[in-house]
Order: sequence, then structure tokens, then C-alpha cells
Amino acid sequence: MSSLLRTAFTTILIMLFSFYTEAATLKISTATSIANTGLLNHILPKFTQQTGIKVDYTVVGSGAALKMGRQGKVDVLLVHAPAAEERYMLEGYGNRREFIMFNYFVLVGPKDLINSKDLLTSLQGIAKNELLFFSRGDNSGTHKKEQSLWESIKTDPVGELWYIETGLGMAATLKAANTEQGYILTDRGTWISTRDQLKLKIVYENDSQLLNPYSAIIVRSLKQNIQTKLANKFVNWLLSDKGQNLIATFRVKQQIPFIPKRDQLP
Amino acid sequence: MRIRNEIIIILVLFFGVLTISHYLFIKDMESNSTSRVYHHSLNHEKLLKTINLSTFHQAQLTSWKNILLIGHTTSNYKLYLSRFYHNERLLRTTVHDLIKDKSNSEAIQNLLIELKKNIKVSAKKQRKGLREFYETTSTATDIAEQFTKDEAILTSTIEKIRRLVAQQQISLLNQVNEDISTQLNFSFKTMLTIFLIASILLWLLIHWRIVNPMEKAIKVVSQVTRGDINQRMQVIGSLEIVKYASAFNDMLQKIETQNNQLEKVTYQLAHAEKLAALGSLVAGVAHELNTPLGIVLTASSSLGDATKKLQANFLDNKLTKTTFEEETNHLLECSVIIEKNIHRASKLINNFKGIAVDQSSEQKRSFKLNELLEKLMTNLQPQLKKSPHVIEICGEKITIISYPGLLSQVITHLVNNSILHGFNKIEQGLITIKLSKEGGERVKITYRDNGCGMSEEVQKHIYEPFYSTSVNGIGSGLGMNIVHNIVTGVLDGDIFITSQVNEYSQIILSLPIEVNRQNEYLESIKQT
Repeated sequence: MSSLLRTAFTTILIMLFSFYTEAATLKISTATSIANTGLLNHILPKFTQQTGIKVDYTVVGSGAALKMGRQGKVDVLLVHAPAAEERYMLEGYGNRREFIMFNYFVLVGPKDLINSKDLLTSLQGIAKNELLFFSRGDNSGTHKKEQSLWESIKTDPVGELWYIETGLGMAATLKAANTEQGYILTDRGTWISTRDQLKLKIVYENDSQLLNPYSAIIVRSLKQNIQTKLANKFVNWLLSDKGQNLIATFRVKQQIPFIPKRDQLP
Repeated sequence: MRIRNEIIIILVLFFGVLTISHYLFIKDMESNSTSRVYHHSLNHEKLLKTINLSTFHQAQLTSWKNILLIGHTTSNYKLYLSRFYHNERLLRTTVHDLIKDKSNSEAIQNLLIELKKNIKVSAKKQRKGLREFYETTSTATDIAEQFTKDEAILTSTIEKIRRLVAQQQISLLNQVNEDISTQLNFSFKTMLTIFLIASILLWLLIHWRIVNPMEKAIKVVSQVTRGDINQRMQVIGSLEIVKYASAFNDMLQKIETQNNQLEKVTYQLAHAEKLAALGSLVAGVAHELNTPLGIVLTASSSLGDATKKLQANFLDNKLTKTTFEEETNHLLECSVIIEKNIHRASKLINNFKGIAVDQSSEQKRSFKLNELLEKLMTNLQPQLKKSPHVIEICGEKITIISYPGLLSQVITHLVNNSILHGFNKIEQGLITIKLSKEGGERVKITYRDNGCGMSEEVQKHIYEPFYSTSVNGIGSGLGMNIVHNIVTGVLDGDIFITSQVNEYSQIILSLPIEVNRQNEYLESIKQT
């Protein structure tokens, strides 16, 4: 009888443990650039190993990631759309927003632009000459950056023949731009990881206007059971030396795609 | 040129013109109507196909709204965005290409520009909506409603274009129909004109080159048939007609030459025959005169002897009453004989003179037919006397106006023929000459002998000059020829011969009571 009770108890314990393990899965929605470069695959196994917390991630544009946050579908967002993030936080859909790392956007294209010394002049040249320009058009961080640049030269390229929106991720859009030999704004990370396959070159880089900061946002939602604890663990880990080191040592083809927060603040 | 070649040239030209006009017509048709319809419908088909909104969604089999909703419910944002942008770009570039094409009408062009503008406007609206969607709590359904509204604007513009295109297509088809019927009408008229011209050309060719020359030739032939052998054909028309005409002319020339020669010879022979006939007449007359003159001579010498005997007796006074009576009776008898025979000679000479006068003067005059024949028989007595043959003249007494000398010649020839040929083996032949009236204006002389007759072969050749059946050289073979010439020529009559071998020969002369014709035969003789 006692053995029977022991067996039953053990079974319940195993079941409880398995429930616990099931519950310890963190859901992340991430910007394409972070996933495409391979950074997540580089750091997540280390995190799981260290904490025992499994992480499931969905690769979407920053806009879609924020939308998922609003809907309470995920626990953490890894995004790079500062203006939209601030609005998101103001509207109260986030518990915590932490700046994690950054890199710079680059303008790439088939050949140098005349007057490429200045970024805005370069973009004006593209619009004026109706050179093919590729955009992700998905409200991602890159897209939003690009939109803000267009706005600053008072141009609305939407609906123009030379302005092509793909609705795809960064790498896929770069491939499309390569196929039709158009210009495109991309984050350096994706650029580094894909440039070998492309017949494109950097037209403009290294400008403070092209700064690309990445943040982690912990979602707050009343409707869903958000795993705030796990989320905080994950964000803290990212900000810890361990996490920052992993970001700093991450290489794509001997290039540094992301600079951790601790190294430099813009 | 040969008529065959001329017709071939005209036909070749005709077919050439037809072929060229046909080629031009087809080319015209191709460049105008058919290809226009083809290009137009192709263009419109392209337009309708490319501009159809459902075509854009065809790959996804759903509208933009559905793309959005599916993307949302499956959390596959990339999928719906990429499809959405792809479709939108397809529509935009298509419309742009259509505008650039310029082959569409101005109304369609305007609608296309409107469509382009609408696409741009709705694109901007949709971007704004998307941004709202991402950055607010608005649901996918809200956005989808917005998309549907935008799509409705585009759909209505496209519908307008479609309607306009259909309308234009119908009007173009009508136009092309009209074009084709106009062209068909034109080509039909052209063909008709070409046919007409070709027919006229052929008609003219045949008329001027064949019909006209042939008509002239027929006229000439009929004139020649009527005896006007001096006529000549005009050497005109196609090569064949020209050859025919010149050959015919050569033939006429030959016939004329031979005719002239023949006439000359015939005249000479007729003249000789006439002289011969005259000679035999003279011989006959001389022979006839000889008898009464011999009797007169004998009687006058007997008269002289008797007178001498009476004179001697009277001088010797031996004249007795008996002797005187005897001698005076003898004298009276002699004088009666002399007188009688002198009368007879005188009569003979008168007859001969009559005939001679008729034959030489050859003037048309009125005479009694039976008297002429009887006189003629008297003149022919010497010939008849040698033979036992009998000539009977019977029938009506008819006065005619004609050439008595020539008629005498005719009868003389007939009698001569009867005696020489018909009665050759007959001891006593009978010739009957019957005179009768034939209607009011003609007289019929039926001459008949009961001689040996003539075979059909002889009858066939009887009028040919120098045709003779005698083997002993009597007769010239000209007699019946002269008879025929005189009767049909001068006397304006007809001659018919019927005969039965060993039975009879009958020659019927049908003569007009009054000859109207001038004595051409004689005139011609006189001239030559």
C-alpha cells in the first residue's frame, strides 16, 4: 500500500515538475535583424543553460512585435523603433524598457551616389532621379528609421514607381534589392551577414543620424498571464556582464554586428 | 498580228490588272480593318486582363482585406504584407505601362491616370492605416474595412474603364464593318469596271479585227457572185483575215484574167461561126438561085432558037399557020418559064436580103414570130433538100419585139444540130416548132425532134464551148454555147433541155414578148 502511495506521489511530483518546466518557457517577439544575424541563436542556449528557462521567439518586424505586445501574445519584445517604443510605453503596454545594444544603419546600393557625402542629399538624389529604392514597409525599426529620414527631407515616396515595398524581413528585402539593383537602408548586422551574397556596396555610413538602438521591453497586459518574473530574469541577464559579453563577442564573418550597451552610450 | 495573240494579250493584261487590284485590295484590308481589329482587340484584351483587380488577387485567390485578415490570424505578418505589396506594385506598374502605351483612347487614358492617382491615394491611406494598426490597439477587422473601401474606389474606376473599353470595341467593330463593306463595295465596283473595260476592249478587237473585215468580205463575195468580178477585198483586220483577203483577191485577179481571155476567144469563135453560118447560107442561096437561073438560061436560049426558027421561016416565006402557032406557043411557054423562074429567084434574094439585113443590123424590132420562122425555113431549104427530113411550124401567131437575126441564128443552130447529130442514123426525121404564149409577157418556143436524143452526160456539158459529140469533125462545138449566150444574154430568155436517148430532144425557149435589155452582147462584140 505504501509502495503504491509512493508511486502515486512520485507520479504527481513528476507531473508537477513537468508543469513547472512547461510554464518556464519565455515567449519573445524579436526584430528580424537580431534573429537574422544569428545573435539569438548565439545567446539563448546560454541563457537556457544557465537559468533553465526555455525561450520561444517569433521573428517579426519591430512594428509587428509591438502589436504582439499590445495584444499580450508575448512576454518580451526585442525591438529597435525608439519613437514607437516610447509611445508604447506611454500608452502603458510595457512594464519595463531597457536599452540593450546598438549599431548603425547603412545605406547600400549598386553604385555610389553623386553627392553621397551627406545622407539627406543622397536620399534626395534617389527621389529626384527616381532610382529604385527598396523598403521593408513592415513598420519595423528599419522601416520607421527610413520613414523618419524621408519625412526629414519632406518626401513621401509611398505610391511611387521607384519605391518598392516588400513586406519581408531585412535579409529577404536585401536580396530583392540586389536582384533589381536598388538602394536600401539596412542595419549593419544583417548587412554583414548577407553582403557576401550581394552585389551591393555601402553608399553611406557612420553618421549619428543612422544610429540604431535596440531595446528590450517587458510586456504588461491585463488580459494575458504575462510571465513578468521570467521576463525580468531574461532582461536582467541581457544587461548582466554575461549577457553583454556574449553580445560583444558575437561575430558575423569576423565583423561586429552589435555593440553592447556597456561599451558606449550614444 | 494574229487574233489569237491579240486576245491572249488582252486576257493577260486583264488578269494582270485583276491580280494587282486583288493584291492591293487584300493589302489595304490587312493594313486597315482586319489588323486594326486584331490589334485593337489584343490591346483591349490586354487592358482588361491586366487591369482587373481580381487578377491581382488571383495568385492569392483573395482580396487585400482577406490577405490582411489571414496574415493577422496566422500571426504571419510577413506573408500578408509581402502579398499585399506585391499585388499593389503589380497593379501600379501595369497601370503605368498602360498609360505609357498611348495606344488607348484619350478617355481611357484619362481614366487610367485617375486610376493611377487613386492607387497612390489609397496606398498612402493604407500605409497610414497599417501604421495605426501596429501602433494602436485597433483590430485587423477595422483595418480590413478601410482596405475594402479603398479597394471599392479602385474597382469602380476599373469598372468604368472596362465599360468604356467595351463601348469602344463595339464602335470600332461597327466602324470596321462599315470599312469592310465600303472596301468590298469599292473593290466590287473596281472589278466591275475592269470587266467592263476588258469586255469593251475584246468587243472592239473582235469588231474591228474580225467582224468588220468579215462583213466587208461577205459583201465583196456576194458582189462577185452577182458577177461583179472587178470587186476586191480590203486588206484589213487580223493577220488571218488579211491573208484570206489577199488570197481571195489573188483568186479574183486570176479569174478576171481568165475570164477576159475566155471572152476574147469566145467572141472570136462566135465571129468565126457566124461567118461560117453566113457562108453556108450564101452557098445555099447561090445553089438555090442557080436552078431558076439555069432554067431561065435554057428557056431564054430555047426562046432565041425558036425566034430564029420563026424569023427564018418568015423570011423564006415558009411560015405556015401551023408552024407559027407552034412556035408562038413555044415562045409563050418559054417566057412563062422565064418569068416564073425569075420571080422565084427574086423571091429568094428578097428572103436572103431580109435575113442578111436582120443579122447585120441587129436592131430590136417588132416582127411576127411564125413569119420569121417560115422565112428561115425557106432559107434553110438547100440543106433540108438534101435530106428527107420534115420541119413543121405550128402554134399561135405571135408578134414580139426582139432581135430577129439572133433568134434566126438560134433556130438555125438547133436545126443544124438536129440534122447533123439527131438525125444522123435516121432516114426521115421530124422537127416540130411550136409557138405558144406563156402568160401575158412571155412566149414559149418548143423545139422538138425525134432524133437519137442526148444522154445525161451530154446534157450536162451541152452549153460548154467546144463540146461536141460528132466524131467526123462536123460542127465546131460552139453551137449550143452561142445559143445559150444569145438566149440568156441578149434575148433575156431562158432555155430548158429535156431529152430521151433514141426518143427525142426537146429544147424550150422562153422569151419575153418585149426585150428590155440593151444589146450588151452585141455592144461588147462591137467594142472588141
